[in-house]
Amino acid sequence: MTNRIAELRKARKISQAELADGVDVTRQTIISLESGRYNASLLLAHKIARYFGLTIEEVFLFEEEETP
Amino acid sequence: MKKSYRNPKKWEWYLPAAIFVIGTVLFLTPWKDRAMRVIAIGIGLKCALNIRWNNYRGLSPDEQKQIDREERDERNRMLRERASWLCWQGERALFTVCFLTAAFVLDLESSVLYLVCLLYVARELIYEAVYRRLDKKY
Repeated sequence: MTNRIAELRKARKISQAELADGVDVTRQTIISLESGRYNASLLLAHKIARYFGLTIEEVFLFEEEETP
Repeated sequence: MKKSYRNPKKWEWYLPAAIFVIGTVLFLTPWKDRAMRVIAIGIGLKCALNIRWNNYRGLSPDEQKQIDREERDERNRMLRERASWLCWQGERALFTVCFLTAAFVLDLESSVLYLVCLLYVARELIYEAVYRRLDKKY
């Protein structure tokens, strides 16, 4: 699952620390989310989307996994 | 040694109290010579908790908020849970190796062998009980 968190954050001139404060997670979690190393839970995804004033689908892009 | 700033949880305060009670009860048993050691452990643990609590109170409100957030953070929780699971698997393997080694090396009537076996079984039973409880809850 990819996301547009970094893009949305930079467009609004918000730092990672500010976003982390806004959704009550650590800055490290924001870093991991933006780099794609960690997938947010539904609750955190909802908080982030609400923070940006968007829907979850507009922030997080779910890609179908290729079946073997 | 790295300073710990984590605010002790409520249940952690009960531990030294429980150890103290056990030590006090030991005075009434044939093992009264060990009671002071147990009480000393309880006192040591209480001192360690007090030091941690004082470290936490010495932080600014922002720093305290940050520490609390690190405890609650979902990614940190996920890492702790995964690390616990991996360590559990490793411990299980270690127990099996210990038991088999002890079975081959020691006398079959050795108390060490039974102790290792007992600890292993108790651990597995506790795990199953906790798992079933969580299964019902979720």
